[in-house]
Amino acid sequence: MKEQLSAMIDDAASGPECEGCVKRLKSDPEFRATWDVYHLIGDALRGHTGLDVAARVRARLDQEPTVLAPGALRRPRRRPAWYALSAAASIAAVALVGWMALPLFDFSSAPVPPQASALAVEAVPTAQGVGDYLLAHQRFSPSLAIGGIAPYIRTVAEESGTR
Amino acid sequence: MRSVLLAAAFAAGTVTCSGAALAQGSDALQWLQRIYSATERLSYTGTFVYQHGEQVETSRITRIVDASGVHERLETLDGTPREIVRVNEEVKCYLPQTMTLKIDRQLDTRPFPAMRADPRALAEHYTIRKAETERIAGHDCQAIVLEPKDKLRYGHKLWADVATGMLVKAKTLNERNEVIEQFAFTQLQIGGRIGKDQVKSRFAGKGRDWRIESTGMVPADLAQHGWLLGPLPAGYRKVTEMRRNVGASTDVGHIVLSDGLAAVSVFIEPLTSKTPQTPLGLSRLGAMNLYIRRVHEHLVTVVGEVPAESVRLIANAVEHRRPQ
Repeated sequence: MKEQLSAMIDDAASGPECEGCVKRLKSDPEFRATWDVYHLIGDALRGHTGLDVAARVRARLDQEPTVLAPGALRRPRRRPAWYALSAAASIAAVALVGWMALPLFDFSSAPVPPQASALAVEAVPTAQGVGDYLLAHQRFSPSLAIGGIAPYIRTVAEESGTR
Repeated sequence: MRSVLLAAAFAAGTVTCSGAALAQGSDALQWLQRIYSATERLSYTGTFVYQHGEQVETSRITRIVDASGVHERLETLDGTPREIVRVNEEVKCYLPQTMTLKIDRQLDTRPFPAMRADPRALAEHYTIRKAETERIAGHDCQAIVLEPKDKLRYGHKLWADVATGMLVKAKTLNERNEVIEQFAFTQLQIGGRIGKDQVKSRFAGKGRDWRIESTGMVPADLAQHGWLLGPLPAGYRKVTEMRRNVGASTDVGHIVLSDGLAAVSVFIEPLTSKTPQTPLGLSRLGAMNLYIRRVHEHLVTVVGEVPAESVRLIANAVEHRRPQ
């Protein structure tokens, strides 16, 4: 189910899959939490960790005047409220679009060519077929010292990246 | 009299300044010590993102330390599932896509030297200082900056949980101060109840048809076979050496070098018809640089999370002399 959720975020899910996800999003709080986390990850990666979309939307809504007598004044009063809501919603939308635009999460595809990266100034070729060497090396790599296996994250990422 | 007083005040000022810098440095060193001991002694579970170049991947890591030792499990959450499970000194890497199980275990019972960074030795090659405090994944964190003193190693910025010392975020930076890789927890639970089932592989029972590759590591003295290292780039020294399997290649010599933080591996294997046809020279993958050359009918592959210049210098330091 999480794969379908991921596919939906990547806009790669089929109609029935989307439907299933949406249904479950409505009924399953844990599934909703996963959805939130996936988006939070996207924000974190783009360096927007401080950006709490929900809080900002709330803040925008709080600034809106409360409509106390909507009957007679419905039309003129409603318009600004609608605009404000739309602006608030667009913040969320931007976050979502940014997330979907990330060219990510499929390491089974070919690795990004070096010229696509900012590091490619010296035009060094991307290493191919060296997964076994990286795996062998990682055991001895102390630099990302989170636990004993964390250095392997590089290797595991690479393993399917060069296929 | 006045000038004497001024000079004295000036001197006192200078002393205080450098004293403060020293105290700041040693405080940062204590933070590093704290990070290392925290990552060893703590149990935790969390989700983190790892980014190198344009690629990003989400993984879940769980670690339990109890009377029976250390149990860890790392599982990728994106793309094809891949899993690494560690029980004390044995590391198993499950790759379901190719139905391969890679087992990394010592055949010899002698332990490898601790491959942990030594904060005091680090100060020789890195300027270490405390930076800002920042909230990451719900934890108040202290940032520590390790700035390289030369161009032979990368810079690092680490964020540690103020309460426990646990590493919550890390960045590796090149000489232009560009991020070449980073990892950051997006959710992290330190301590508390963590179920043992979270450190068990979900492929463990299914491995019957899988291809098993064992590293078969045994300590070795490669100099006895004529393999020597000439002058190495500043700060790098040999940490351990062994013979082992690497993928399909058997009997590969493996020398590990380190400057106390970054590690470089040197692989030496005889050229045969089975030797993979990898292009010679320099290549790169994320923060890792590789340099491959031929020496005395052998393939020498140098790999490390260090700048290109360092892998090149180390590769060129490998030489073969007929054993006496």
